[in-house]
Amino acid sequence: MQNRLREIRMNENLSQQALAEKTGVSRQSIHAIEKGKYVPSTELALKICRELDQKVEDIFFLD
Amino acid sequence: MKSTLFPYFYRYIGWPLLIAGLILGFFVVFFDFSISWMDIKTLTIGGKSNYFFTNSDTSRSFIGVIDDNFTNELAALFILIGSVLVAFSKQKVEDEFFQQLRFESIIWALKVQSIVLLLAILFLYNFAFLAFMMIALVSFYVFYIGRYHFQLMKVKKNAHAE
Repeated sequence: MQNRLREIRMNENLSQQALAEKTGVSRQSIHAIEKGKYVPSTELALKICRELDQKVEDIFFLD
Repeated sequence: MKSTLFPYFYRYIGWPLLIAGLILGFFVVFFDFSISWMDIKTLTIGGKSNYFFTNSDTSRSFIGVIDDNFTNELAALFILIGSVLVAFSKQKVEDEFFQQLRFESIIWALKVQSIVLLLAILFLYNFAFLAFMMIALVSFYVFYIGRYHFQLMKVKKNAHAE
């Protein structure tokens, strides 16, 4: 699975730390998701989308 | 999801116990060290008892009491309890990504432990095998803690670099 998290987060002018705090995870987790090293659970993916005000399929998509 | 891990601060009990146990264990194994006031009578199962259920002091019994110096048991308990507390206490922020790292590290440690055991079964005999089995009691935790902290270090280094 791929994602556009980094791009969208940067557009929102939000740091990894700020997004991590809003979604209740560590900064390392956000970094790993952006790098494609970790695929988040549905719950975390939905939280990220809510914080960035995006639809899930706008951020996460299959290869 | 409800976490089954210990609270974060348990690692501060675990590390001193583990280090103390390793130091004590080293002296017990290599210098036959024992603490004199730790000579105690202790319960044993399936051992040679001097006190219960037997007529002679060398007979085996299902359950009994023996004279023992508790130093080596103390070292083993310190290492075991310390390892468990260090291995399974939470990170400051314990999230699903860290739980994934834990899972991968547990699988890795089990594989390494199995390979090491396989080699020990094939190539170690008599006292060498028994000595190895004592180490094998806690080696899983050593593999797991080593792997998990190595992974954590890599993740934190990569995240810090950006």
